[in-house]
Amino acid sequence: MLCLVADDHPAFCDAIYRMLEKSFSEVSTVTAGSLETLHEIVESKTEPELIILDLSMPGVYGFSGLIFLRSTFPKVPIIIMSAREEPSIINEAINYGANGYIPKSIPMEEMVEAISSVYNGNIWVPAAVEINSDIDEEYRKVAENLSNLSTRQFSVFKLLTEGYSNQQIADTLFISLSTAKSHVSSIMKTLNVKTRSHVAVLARRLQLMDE
Amino acid sequence: MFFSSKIFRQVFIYSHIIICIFLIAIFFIAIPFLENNLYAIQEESAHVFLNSLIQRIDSESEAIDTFWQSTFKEQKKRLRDITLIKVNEIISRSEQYTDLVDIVENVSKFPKTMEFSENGLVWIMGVNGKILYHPDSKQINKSASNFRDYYGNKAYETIYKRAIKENSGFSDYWVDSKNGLISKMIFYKKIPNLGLIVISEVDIESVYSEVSSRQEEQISKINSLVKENKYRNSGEVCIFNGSKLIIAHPNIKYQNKKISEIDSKIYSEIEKKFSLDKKIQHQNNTGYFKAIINNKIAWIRYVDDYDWYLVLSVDEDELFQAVNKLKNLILFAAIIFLVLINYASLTIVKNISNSIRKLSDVAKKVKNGDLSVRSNVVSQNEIGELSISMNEMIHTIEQNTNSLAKLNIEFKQAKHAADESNQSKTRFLTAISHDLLQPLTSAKLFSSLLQLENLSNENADLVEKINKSLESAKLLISELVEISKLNSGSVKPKIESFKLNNVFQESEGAFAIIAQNANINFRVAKTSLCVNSDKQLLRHIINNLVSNAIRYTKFGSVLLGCRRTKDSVHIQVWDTGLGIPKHKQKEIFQEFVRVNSSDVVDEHRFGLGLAIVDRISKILGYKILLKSVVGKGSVFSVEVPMSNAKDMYLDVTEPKVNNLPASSLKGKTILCLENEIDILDAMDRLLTRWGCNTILATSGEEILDILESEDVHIDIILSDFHLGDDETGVDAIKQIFEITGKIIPAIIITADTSEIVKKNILKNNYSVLNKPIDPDTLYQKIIDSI
Repeated sequence: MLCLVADDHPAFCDAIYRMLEKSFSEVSTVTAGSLETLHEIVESKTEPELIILDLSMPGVYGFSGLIFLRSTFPKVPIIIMSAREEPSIINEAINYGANGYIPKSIPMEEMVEAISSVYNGNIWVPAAVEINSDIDEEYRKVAENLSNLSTRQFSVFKLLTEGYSNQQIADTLFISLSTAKSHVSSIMKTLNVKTRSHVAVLARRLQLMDE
Repeated sequence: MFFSSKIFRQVFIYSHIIICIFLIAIFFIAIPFLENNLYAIQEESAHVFLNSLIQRIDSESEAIDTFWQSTFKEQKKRLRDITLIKVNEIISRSEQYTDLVDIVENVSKFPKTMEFSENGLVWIMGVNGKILYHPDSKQINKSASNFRDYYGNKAYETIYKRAIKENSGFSDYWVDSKNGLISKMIFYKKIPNLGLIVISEVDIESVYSEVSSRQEEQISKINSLVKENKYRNSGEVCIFNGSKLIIAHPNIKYQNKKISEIDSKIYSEIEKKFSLDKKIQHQNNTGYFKAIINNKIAWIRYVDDYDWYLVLSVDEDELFQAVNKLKNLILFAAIIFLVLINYASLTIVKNISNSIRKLSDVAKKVKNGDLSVRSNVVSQNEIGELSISMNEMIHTIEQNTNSLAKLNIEFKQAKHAADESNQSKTRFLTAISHDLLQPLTSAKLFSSLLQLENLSNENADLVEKINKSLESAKLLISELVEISKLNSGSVKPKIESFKLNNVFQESEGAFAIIAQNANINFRVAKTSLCVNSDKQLLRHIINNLVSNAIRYTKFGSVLLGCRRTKDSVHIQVWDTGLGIPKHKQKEIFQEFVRVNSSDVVDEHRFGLGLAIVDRISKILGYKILLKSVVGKGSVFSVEVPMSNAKDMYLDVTEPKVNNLPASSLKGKTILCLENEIDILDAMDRLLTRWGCNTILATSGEEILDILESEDVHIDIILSDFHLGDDETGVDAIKQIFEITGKIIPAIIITADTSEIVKKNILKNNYSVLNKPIDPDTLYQKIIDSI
């Protein structure tokens, strides 16, 4: 089983690998500690059989990583492993296409159970969480659009959500004003919106609570 | 208009009351007093007048009296003299003659020779009453009592009787004849030796006629006196005698008539007085009496000497003319005074109320926050002082407000800095904890993996201990983060209505195994109640309380349940644990406080659970109640507002947009102008659900930039009124119209219900929608506007 583990903590990736090794046969893992590495892996056209993803990773904005992976690998089961345990976040993750959500605090035995359950095609969430799958189609489309942004565009996107002007974006990212402008307009085009404010509104929805 | 002024009303009422009291005092006390005095004076002067009149009459009468008396005396003397001559003659004759008849006959020879008068005669009567001698021989020998006089009247009886008794004397009598009054004077002299009575009589009619002519003259004089002697203008004098015959009256035609014939009520009133009380005539013989009727007043004076009544009648009006004039003058003065007072008070009140209105305008402006205004009321009176002090007060307020505003800004800055640092502390803790948790999670995974190896008992024990330590560290970190988050104030509760049982079940699921492991009977009482609360925060409270209860209970049971009161639900967690002594019951809600560390079941735990419960309940505004008996157990209870939605699950945060016919707005492009990102987000969600395309902008500038560079079709504009930086939705829409050259339907949304804002919006023909927006209303408004 080829498992893609995306987590910025190498020790955790290692622990996961060892755990999987104990529980599943012929396990091999690919690890990614940042969005860039993730993009590289995606570009290398290796299709994993299972993805274990940490929600908070450098360069990842909210659910954008999940959305990106979901659109890249529509059929691969994705498990979110996170320190966040809020039911609303779990709910949203499932709605954005995750097949399982494992809080990092649960005992190892339970983790193994959850991973194999998802690997076998089920949806797994902690017992106390109820899943409402009434998320808007429009919404998912926005999320998908967002996942199509390039890494650079994503950085610009993040600055846009904080209300940066074109000049400020150019200064922050050490790019020319015209480049910044073209990034902004292509983001708006990708997201199919006309204004920066609209971008900020959409970004808010993808944000994790308290982030 | 000024009657509405309270001050004026008061002045008006008081001045009128004072005037009324003044008038009452004048008319009911002063004027009657004056009238009484005046009346007494008038009466006095009337009597003085009457007295002087009487004196004049008296002086007139005196002349007559003198005449009468001198004439009468002379006659009397002559009569006596003659009679005595005759008597002496008879006596001397009685010495010559013995026969009485001779004596008498001789006497009779010379009566006519006497120079007495033609009207006089002498005759002789015996004491037996028989006439012995009489010039008329037919009378001789007749009885004197039957004796008839010269005119055949039987009038001598009285004289005879008197003459029998007395030796001599005068007597007179009057006889009525067809010609009028005839008066006689008689003298008799008895000669007792001879038994004779000599009687001489003389006719004094001429004297009388002289007197009466003089009396007539007197009366005409009195009449002219009465006529001439005027008493004031209306004074009228009338004299009448005891038989009410008028003797004198200014109108000569009433002379010798009865007073009842005078055509004036006052005389009939006088007569009435006479007839009512006949004594008046006698009682008031020397005094006065008066009659009053029909504005006439009459004083009546009886003059004893003449048996006359003098009447002076006067018009009352004339007497009291002065008083009446005074009355009118006072009334007139009162009216003038009132008019003046009203005019003056009106003027003063106008001034005062204008000044007060100005002052009150200033006060209102100050109240509305305009501290630059000053009162321009300048006046020498108290209002001027008030105006000055008011200005001083506003000045002080302005200064204070300014310094307060300064302080406020400083305070805000300080608070902002404090908040910032608090936030950054939380962020720091969150970041740190995330980074701390990662290696811990990894370590725990590794130690778990280690447990799978075949370890010696000793090593297995060690790994187990490592595991537990890691677990505690993890818990502590997450609780620390939580406390810091709760303290930072960044946690905002989302209140909704939900079934309490759902939370209970979750808690049961989470703690069943833990309780079982601890050998504690954990029971959850089912409930059908719904509460209004933040589901997540409430769950946190309950779970912490349950976890706390299990931790401090060595054996026995823990019960989670609820009790319903009128409009709230008491969620209670019962345990049969150690109990908390009274003095510690407050402390346990603070961080890192435990009842007794030696009694703690799980020695790795720090006491953060109850501190978290305390913080959350403070955020939600709940009260945590604790009842505990050491050694027996405790009850923690939280009071949560009950929801009216009994058994059904109601999520009030979800708008009921599904009921609306979304098709009618499908494909419409709506421009939303709103400076709050949260509200913009909510509007976008709503509009997208209705199938609309949205263009979102936080300022007019943002959308204008786009409209300048490309041609965008907009079906309707939804704009907030206040867009920040003094920009209004109305301004932005105007600019949009200018750039696009089109008039686009617009709805202004505002929480500002002030009239200025409303006018500003309606002036431009936009629809208004007040915050908070109800989706149904918004939908209808959009449909109506397109």
